[in-house]
Amino acid sequence: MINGNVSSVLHNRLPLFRAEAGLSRKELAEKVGVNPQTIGFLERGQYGPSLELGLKLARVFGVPVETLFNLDPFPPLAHQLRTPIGD
Amino acid sequence: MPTSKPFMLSMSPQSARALSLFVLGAIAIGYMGDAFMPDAPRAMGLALGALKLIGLAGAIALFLSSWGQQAMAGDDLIDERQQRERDRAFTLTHRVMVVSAIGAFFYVDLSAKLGLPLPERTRDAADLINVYILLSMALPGMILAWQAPTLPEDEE
Repeated sequence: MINGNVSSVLHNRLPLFRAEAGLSRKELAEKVGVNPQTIGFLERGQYGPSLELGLKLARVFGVPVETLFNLDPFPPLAHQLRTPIGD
Repeated sequence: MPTSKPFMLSMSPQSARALSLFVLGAIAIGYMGDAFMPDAPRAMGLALGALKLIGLAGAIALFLSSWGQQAMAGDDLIDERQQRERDRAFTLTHRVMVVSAIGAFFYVDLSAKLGLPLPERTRDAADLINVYILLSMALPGMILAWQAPTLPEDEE
């Protein structure tokens, strides 16, 4: 084991961003140059992308890569919407 | 990103898994039976020969399936996830083949001391080596099919 105690689970918000952008898996796959099934694997957390693929995906949505992928779980969207801006 | 699609047989993971089990069984029984029972009755000899042919045909079908093609594909034809799966399949294949080779080495070494049967004809021994080579080619595709997760219906 070379990861030590580092969590190997990579959380992502890919389905959320893809739905908001109105992209199908096939369309997103074409934009980043992967097989459409790979987008499904990424969304279900069954595959952790390379740094290059992570950056390409972030560029498609125009967000920093850590907005799409994180080692810590993302807070639920409803919780974020309830939180007043500036807190 | 794949740019050209070579000929391949479309095969679901379930079909490929079933076929791979059948191929392994048919080849094992056909070739081992032929090698260790050279004086078998004619009917059994024909049955073993048929099993060998069916097993070889199945191995070729697996090789031509999408699983076999992914296993043999170059980096420019498959994406990084598929490359990682392919490399894992080859690593596992290498382990299986090395363990098999070591097992065969010890079997041959111990056969005289323990009275274990060995192929009597050179041709049968050569056939077993051919099977070993054939399996080393087909195994990566079989492993890919066995390791493939069940996909949601909208992704198949």
